[in-house]
Amino acid sequence: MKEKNVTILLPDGIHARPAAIFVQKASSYPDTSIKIKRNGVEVDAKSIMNIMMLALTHGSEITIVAEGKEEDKAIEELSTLVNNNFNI
Amino acid sequence: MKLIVYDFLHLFFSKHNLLTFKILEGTRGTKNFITSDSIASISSIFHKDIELLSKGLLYFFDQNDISLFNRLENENHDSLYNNISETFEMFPPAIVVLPEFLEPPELFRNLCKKYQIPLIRIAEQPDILKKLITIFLEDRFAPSMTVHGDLVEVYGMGLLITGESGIGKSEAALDLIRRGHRLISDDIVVIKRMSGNFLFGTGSHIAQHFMEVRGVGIINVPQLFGVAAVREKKRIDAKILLEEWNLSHKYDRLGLIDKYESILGIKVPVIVIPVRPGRNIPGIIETSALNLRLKLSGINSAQTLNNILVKWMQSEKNIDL
Repeated sequence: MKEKNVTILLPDGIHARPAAIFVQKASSYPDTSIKIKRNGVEVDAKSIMNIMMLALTHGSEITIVAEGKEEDKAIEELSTLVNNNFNI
Repeated sequence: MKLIVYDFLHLFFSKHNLLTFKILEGTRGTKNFITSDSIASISSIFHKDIELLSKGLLYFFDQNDISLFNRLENENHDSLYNNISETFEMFPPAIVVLPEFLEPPELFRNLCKKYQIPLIRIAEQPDILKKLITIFLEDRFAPSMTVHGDLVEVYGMGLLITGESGIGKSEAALDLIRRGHRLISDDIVVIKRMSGNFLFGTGSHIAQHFMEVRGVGIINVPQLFGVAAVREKKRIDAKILLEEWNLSHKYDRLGLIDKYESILGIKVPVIVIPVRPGRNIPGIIETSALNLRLKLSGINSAQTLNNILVKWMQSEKNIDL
């Protein structure tokens, strides 16, 4: 199991569009379970509604947790995605 | 696209069975071809509108033309005669239609006889008759294409279900019929682009409401499910594309951005539905039809949710500050 902390840099926070981009990326690792932790709440990173429920604003700190075959690659790519402002 | 005058008369009168008609001249000309859906006016011959004239047009003769005709005939009979016969030789008309109670000028009648152009009087008011002919010809000459797929009406929306063969289009359509929706056509859908820029779909005339279901064979839908389960034609509101679930393909998760495709030059919304065992495709098609209706009435579910989220995040930010 791998964990990594990242900070949301998007000025508007994670609204529908970045949430969809993140979920799409996370879903491309079918053999890896990916979760997002924030303030003790853990949600599935492959579900749009779960991520939107967190209402992640600018400056929120989250922990990406991955477990499975491609955990290293998944963590690396997802944290890069967050740091690059979801390529928007 | 060509339409023989004889077929035109036959189809036109079987469609509007109240009308009666009389062939005044040119019986032999009923083998002529109508080659265009535009209705020409006799006055365009006098005006020498070369752009408007072509071979095989349908001419409409109305009261104004008679007045014009009489005036010109009084002025110079021979020049009028030569003028018209010249045009008839260059651009032979397919048929000339007169509305009820209208008596064609003697000179014109003779010319129709000479060139064997069917001169037909139809017992209907001029305005209505012109409208009926316009609609009929537009329908016959509309650009059309044939598509492999199913056309169903789901909650009032005409959905064209397409996808590779064996993906389960017919099965999806069958389940939709069982849920009380309507079949327009299975397997072959004939699409026509109508004036007013919309698409109309119908089936082949021979076997429109028969379906082939793998494992069962041919079924007769109106006999099995009742006549309410079928429709003859329907406006196409959206295209549903059934696709084998592909892991590398990114499917729409939000529905914020609509996808469109051009069919006969008309923009049609496309909904791609990935198929996988255990997915209830008819249920998803029903839901997308309802969501489409909601979108057309101005409510976008994804947009609404996003607005709520953005508003909520902004208020939280305010508290933090």
